[in-house]
Amino acid sequence: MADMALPVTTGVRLARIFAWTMVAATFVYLINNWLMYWIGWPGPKSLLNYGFSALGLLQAVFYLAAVALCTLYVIRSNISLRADSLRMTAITNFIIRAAFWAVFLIGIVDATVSFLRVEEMLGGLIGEELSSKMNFNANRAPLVHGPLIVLSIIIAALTRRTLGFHWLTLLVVIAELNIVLSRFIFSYEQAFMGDLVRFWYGALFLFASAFTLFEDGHVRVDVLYAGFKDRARGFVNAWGSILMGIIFCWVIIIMGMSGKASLINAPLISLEVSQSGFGMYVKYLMAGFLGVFAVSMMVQFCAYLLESVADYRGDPGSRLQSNDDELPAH
Amino acid sequence: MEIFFLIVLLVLMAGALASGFPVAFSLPGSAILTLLLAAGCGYVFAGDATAYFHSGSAPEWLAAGTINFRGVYWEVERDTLIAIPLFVFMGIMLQRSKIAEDLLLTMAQLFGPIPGGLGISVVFVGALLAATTGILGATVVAMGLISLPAMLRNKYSPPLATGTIAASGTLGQIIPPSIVLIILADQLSSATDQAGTARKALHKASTGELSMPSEFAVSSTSAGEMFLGAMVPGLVLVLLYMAFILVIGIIRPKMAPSVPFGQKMDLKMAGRIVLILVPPLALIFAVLGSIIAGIATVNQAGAIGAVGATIMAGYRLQEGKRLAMLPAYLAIGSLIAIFLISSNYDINIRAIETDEDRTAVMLAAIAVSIFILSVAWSLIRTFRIDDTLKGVMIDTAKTTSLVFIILLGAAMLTAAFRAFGGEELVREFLTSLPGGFWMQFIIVMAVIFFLGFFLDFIEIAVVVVPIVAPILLMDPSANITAVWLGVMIGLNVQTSFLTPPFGFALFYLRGVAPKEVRTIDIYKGVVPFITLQLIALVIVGNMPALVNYLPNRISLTSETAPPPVNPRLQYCMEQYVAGQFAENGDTIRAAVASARGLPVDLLPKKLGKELSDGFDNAEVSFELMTGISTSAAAVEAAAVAYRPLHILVRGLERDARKMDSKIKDLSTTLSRLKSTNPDSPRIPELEAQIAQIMGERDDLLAKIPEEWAETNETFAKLTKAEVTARNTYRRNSDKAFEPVEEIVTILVAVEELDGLSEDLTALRDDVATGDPEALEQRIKTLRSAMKNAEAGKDTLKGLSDARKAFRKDPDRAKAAEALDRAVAGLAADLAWRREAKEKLLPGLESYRTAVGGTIGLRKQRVLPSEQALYVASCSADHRDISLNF
Repeated sequence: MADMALPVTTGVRLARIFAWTMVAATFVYLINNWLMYWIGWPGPKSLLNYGFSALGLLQAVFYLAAVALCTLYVIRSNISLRADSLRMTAITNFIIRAAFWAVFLIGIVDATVSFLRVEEMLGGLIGEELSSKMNFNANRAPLVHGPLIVLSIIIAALTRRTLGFHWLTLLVVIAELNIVLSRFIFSYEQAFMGDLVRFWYGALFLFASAFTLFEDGHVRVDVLYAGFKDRARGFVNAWGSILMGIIFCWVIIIMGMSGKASLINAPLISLEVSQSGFGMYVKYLMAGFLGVFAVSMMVQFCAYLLESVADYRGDPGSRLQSNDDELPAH
Repeated sequence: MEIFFLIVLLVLMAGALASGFPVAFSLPGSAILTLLLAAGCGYVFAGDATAYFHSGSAPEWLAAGTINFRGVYWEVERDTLIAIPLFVFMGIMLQRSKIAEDLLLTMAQLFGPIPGGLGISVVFVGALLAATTGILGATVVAMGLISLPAMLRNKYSPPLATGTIAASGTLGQIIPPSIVLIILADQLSSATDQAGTARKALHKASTGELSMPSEFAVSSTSAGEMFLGAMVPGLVLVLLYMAFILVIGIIRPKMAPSVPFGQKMDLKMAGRIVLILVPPLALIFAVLGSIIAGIATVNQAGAIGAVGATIMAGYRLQEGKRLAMLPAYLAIGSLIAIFLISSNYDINIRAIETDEDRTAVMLAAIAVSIFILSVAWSLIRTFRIDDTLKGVMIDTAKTTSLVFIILLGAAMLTAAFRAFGGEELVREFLTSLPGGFWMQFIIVMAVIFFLGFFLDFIEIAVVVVPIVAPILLMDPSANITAVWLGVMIGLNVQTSFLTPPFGFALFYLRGVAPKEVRTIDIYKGVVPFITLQLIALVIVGNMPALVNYLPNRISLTSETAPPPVNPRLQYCMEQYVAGQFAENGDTIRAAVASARGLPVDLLPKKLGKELSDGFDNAEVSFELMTGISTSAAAVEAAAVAYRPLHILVRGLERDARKMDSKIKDLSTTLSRLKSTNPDSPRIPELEAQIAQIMGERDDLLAKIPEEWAETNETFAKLTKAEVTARNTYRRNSDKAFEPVEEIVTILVAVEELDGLSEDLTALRDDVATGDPEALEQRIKTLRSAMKNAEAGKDTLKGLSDARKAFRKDPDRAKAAEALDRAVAGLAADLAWRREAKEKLLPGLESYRTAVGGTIGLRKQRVLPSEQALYVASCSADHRDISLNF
């Protein structure tokens, strides 16, 4: 494959630098967001508004470093666009795999804890002191959710083979069946059961989106597109990724995390829980789903950009033609 | 400038969509680009980033759009959407395990020998398949792959064959449980909220009253109601299709030849047919039935469907091997067991008190475990055999994701559309059309039909419905229901999908049809079906009851039916009662007259007076009902002359209000300008502009005919008279029936009360010696038991006084005195009650039965079934309420 590849042009390098910079900037933004609202650093913007501070400068330097490192990486490593694209897809897959394990484990454990708490059996199992701690999310989040998230990341790093997220469809079915059986047969229904369904269903469609993009499963209006050649398709997809996709993801990320009271930050900081007293304590994590969605889509769109540039150039290995015989999934 | 950016938005969106970039990102992407562009241009050219917005600023609208993203799964109100992955799971499971294919082939074999039988079975299975997937492309492709070769092989004419397949494939849009109906319900319910607010504002503006009577509210909808509403139109379509093919088969047997039954019909064959046909049908009926009967929510029904499909896949994949059917039998057996247990015992895991309860719960737990085992077994089979489960899960995840991301993306688009005042523009355009509601409706339907050439149903539902539905739903003259609007849109889009040259269904079919079928054949083939669709559209358009009746009926007869005092039901209930008065008036009058002969003097004075007053009220109610009819007739007569004037004046007033708000905006700008920049040349310009609009407004208002004030006042008096007549009747009938109910309750409880009298005497005996705390507890228990048994005031007062006496420092003497009063009171009560029960109760009960369905209707706990059915059909038609606005 490599020997047939077209020559590397400046355009290709620029596309790769752009894509990797977007990915890196996203992660720097996330790190800075954490530093600002959880640790209390001033943030890069403070340089403009409040004058010099060492930490603020450091945070600004992160962005510059990201650009520099990406440029260096692109110049030093001479791999093909498609291979680079697959590297990004691997990042997305890792994020989604970790996120899947997190919602899977947290869903089961938190629902169990909530169930035991409603039935007043929690104290007997883990002791009264710990049990009463579980009534407050300030304790439940670090004691239960935190370790499970760490565990999920470890599992995601160790198991490379599966994406996992598709199991959420079955989990949603099972969680809803659980409601059906317990409600209709045992006349038993609690808020946490509905919360569990909602928790997994929200994760399902948000986490599945990146994979759907990779598989070209999102609906297109293909009146014209169906007749396009690879080059035209690559053109549309590359510019679409930049103008529609990447911007879309930035809007979610910035609107969600630009301040303490923002859409994603606020519930995460306050560890928001749902109003129903005996539900699961995971609502704040559901705000985070949107962040997972935006970040995974950002990386995937960058991967898609590189792949589309390759399609546009006619690099070997295109997946477009092979998709022609298949029907769009809608 | 807003208009310019609105056009930019639309052009960008159209360009992005046409380029073929995924819809889910083209919609929000073009919205975001336009918002940023407008903010940028505003900053550069006008020095103000918000200058080119209708209201708000770019960050505000971007934030609003992002909040909408989260809203899709954040709030409990939108839980209905959870049904989508569940139904998709069910549909894909049925397809991947080849159950759907078996169904089609078997049906075709079975019905082959009738004229057009093969075609009819394609329609039947299409409807059924559609019901399980609800995804247009999937159904058309599946049916095209399976049934087109069979039809062509059997010498069906290509146009008829392709037409049948395309048309039955699109049935999925309208036959429940289709996922687009769920999305429509979700979008329509927020549209209903908006329409309701707008209608309230209109009511306030035109009548000056602060609150609108709730019977004028816009009726909302849910996914379950949407399913019910689409049921009848869907079936009508199926029947029309089948009838058409049958007729062709009879008149032109060459086009649709009958297919001789290939195999010998023996017992084994019959068994196979039953095994293939019955389970999918039973599953559909279970899913829809549980929704219709109001037992399960749409989501729960979806889970039932998904699990049922899995169990079926479990044996289908294992076909011909050992123990293939065992999990299915286990599942069925355990379900029967569960049914038997729960119909014999009242199983409630939180309230296990007796041994019997415990046994019941244990038995149920065993049965449920067996059921779960069979589901798990089936899942393992689908997991192992051909990787079916993985394929189903991945397809479900992808389909769910593509649907929901479009939903997210459209939220941003709607935000941007609002940011540039697009919504108001559309409203102004629609409301300024001549011809009122129907003109608006037809235009909207035409636009949707046109969009159906390019966009899938989901996109139309999420992009167009939020903009136009509130305007249509708000209109008080048509006063349409959201369900009807949804079904009409569904039928319309479905027709659009069939229409050459762009129809979606045709593309899909072309993709899977063999080369020898010419495209023109496909186009020719759909023409009769389009005609049938249009006929159905006209029928449903003219007979809203076809859509509205079923949801009404189910909601009025369900366990959670609204009580008969609900204001929304009154109009139809009064019609019913008026009809009954006219028809059986004499019988009812006779019942009242004979009730007068009852020994009322057996009752205590106050109760007796209430009851005989009630009889008076009952007699008056006939007259009051006539009053309602007369006043209503007077309103109707006056409406003929009043209506044209009303439309004219309200139209003028509406335009004047628009000008008022423009004047207000300009005045704000003016005063701001005056304080910041008093020398600006804009000031005189603005002042002149305001003066001009004011003049225009005054001209407009001057056009209101002189007789309006008087006519309006006269008409308002007439409507007021009708409202008063209705309220008087309602109050009167309440008074007529309340004492009857009260007395019957008291008298029925006599035995129970009698049973408690011994306890009271025992208590009185112990009062001097017993432990105060225990006594207080006994008094408390007895009092609440007495209260349940309708004990009289003296008894209850005595008991509570006695209890008070034991509270702090026990005062036995006081308690004894109080209890004596209670005993005496009870004795007196029991004395008259026993007698009244014997002599009065039978007569009173037959009176209650005689007038309960008419005069006493408002005081029933729920509407009795006859009345409920009447009200359901009466309120299924849209009622023009515009003259109240």
